[in-house]
Amino acid sequence: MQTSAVSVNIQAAAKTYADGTRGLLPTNLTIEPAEIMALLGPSGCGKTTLLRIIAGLETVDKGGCIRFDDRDVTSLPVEKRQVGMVFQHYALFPHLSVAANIGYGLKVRGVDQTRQRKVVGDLLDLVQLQEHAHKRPTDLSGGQRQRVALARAVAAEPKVLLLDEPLTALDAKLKESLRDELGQLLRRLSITAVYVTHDQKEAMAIADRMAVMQSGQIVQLGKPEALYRQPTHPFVAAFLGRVNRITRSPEQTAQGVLSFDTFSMPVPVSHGSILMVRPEHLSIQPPHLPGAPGVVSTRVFLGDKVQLTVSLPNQPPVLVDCHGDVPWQVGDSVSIAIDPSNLLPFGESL
Amino acid sequence: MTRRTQSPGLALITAIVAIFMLTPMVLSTTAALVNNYSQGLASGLTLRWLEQVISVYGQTVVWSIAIAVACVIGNILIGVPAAYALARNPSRWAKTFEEILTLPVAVPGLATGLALILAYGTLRDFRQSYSFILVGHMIFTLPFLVRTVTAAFQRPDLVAMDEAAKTLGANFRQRFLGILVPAVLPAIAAGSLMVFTLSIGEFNLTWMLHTPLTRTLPVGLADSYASMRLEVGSAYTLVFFIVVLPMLWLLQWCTHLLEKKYAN
Repeated sequence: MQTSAVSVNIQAAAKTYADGTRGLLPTNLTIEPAEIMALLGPSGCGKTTLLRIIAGLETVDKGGCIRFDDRDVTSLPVEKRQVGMVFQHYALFPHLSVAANIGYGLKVRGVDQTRQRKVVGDLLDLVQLQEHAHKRPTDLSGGQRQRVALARAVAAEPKVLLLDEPLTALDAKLKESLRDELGQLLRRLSITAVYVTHDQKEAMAIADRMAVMQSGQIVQLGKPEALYRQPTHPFVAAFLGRVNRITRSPEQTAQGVLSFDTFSMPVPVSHGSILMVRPEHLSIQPPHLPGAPGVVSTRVFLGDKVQLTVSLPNQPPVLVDCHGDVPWQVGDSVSIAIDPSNLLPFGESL
Repeated sequence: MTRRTQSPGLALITAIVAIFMLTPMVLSTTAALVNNYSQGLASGLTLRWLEQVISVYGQTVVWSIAIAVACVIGNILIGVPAAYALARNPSRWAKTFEEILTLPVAVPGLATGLALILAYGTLRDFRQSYSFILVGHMIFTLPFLVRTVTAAFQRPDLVAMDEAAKTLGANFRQRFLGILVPAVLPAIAAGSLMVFTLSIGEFNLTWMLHTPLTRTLPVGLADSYASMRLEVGSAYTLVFFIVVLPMLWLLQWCTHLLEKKYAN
């Protein structure tokens, strides 16, 4: 539908609320044309504030600037900014039919009837709600409402599509199937989109790039895989998946080794004293093989895999993901092999 | 049926309270239909008291309804925009304004009436018309509508709908009339029902504001109780029931229907 997607350029955008709380620290972000950018973080991290600033629903502090392509839209009111927005609870108009909801943006802009009908019809096809056109939103399921909200947001061909936790209102099972469907739909629209979520799986499945946010600022920005594999900040590592923390003494750090009782392995000095490693990157083996010696303290069977907690000498217990058929039981002595290349290096940034 | 056998004590209390409450209503309405109340039913049934009420006080019934309807319309026109303004304005001034708006509910109607007479009593044409009473009723009933509708406008889903309409390019007029007012229609209906009910039965304030030529049903009722036979007064009460109850039921039914239609 969209012929020419625009880029979004955010410069030094900050938000201070009337009571003095800072919702967003000065933030820079560039979103490429037709890119799906996820803003990911825990509640209160400023992701929704940033989204609302792009929409024009929040004013930006003095000095901030928002551009769509080369056009400065900072002082443009939301009604004229030509954005489409999908709200957390959809905010559908309860007294209007599905078709009237989708066509609302066209109607208020004075688009002629024939064109309105055509666009609404096309969108009903796209979101597969043809037979529900005359129903009220209250008669639809959660997933259907979400699709109406999306169709309504894109009907007037907005320059930027903004989605505020669009899957949160759905139950867990539906959420997973709709996540992929929504991702495909967004790609088919080839529109610049900003997607706010606190669910890292959702962000990874849908976004081209994501910005992980914490305490009002972007901590790291990049492709989902890169962020998962090479987090530059411990918060990003922990937020995108489970991590084990292993600490080493100043002496070990200075010598460039990591030691567990009798076992010692080289780990560069530059890795610092706190090391992080994901549970799936640890492998468990019989106790006589070289590795960190430990004892299995819990075993959780998850069908396709088994999650073990292993107590290590002078360390907090670590989580290890193994195949579903590993023989180890609680109380067994084991050895854990750690590939140094899988240790997430944060230096002394902690 | 099983319920009744399970708690006979409760059923008895309910019956006693119901009888205690219904007896005055039954006595009052039967008094309207007998020839002589002191002789009771033995004096025979008649409609002449009702006829007398309609010929003497018929106009007050019409005017009461007209004022109540005008009061509802006027309050919607003033109250709904006011409610929106109050709902979207977080300032202290808005809070203070809302409190002042609610004052006439607490202040005795007589005092409000006196204040109106002191302020506008010299405007003769206004003072001697029904619009003087209408203004009094509106001042008294406005807070009931404004409060109900403000609460509806403040609901998070309404705020989101307003924002959604904004992002879709709707200007204020389009949003207000096309989205927000329809979305709070059940609240407006509930508030209107309240306003209508209060206006129809209002006596305090109206008694202060009325002139011999501008009387409403409750004022006429007081007059008949004071100066007419007991049977006429009772017939008047019966007229009130016959006219007002069906209207209230109709309004209640409409409100209920709207609430069902807009239920989320």
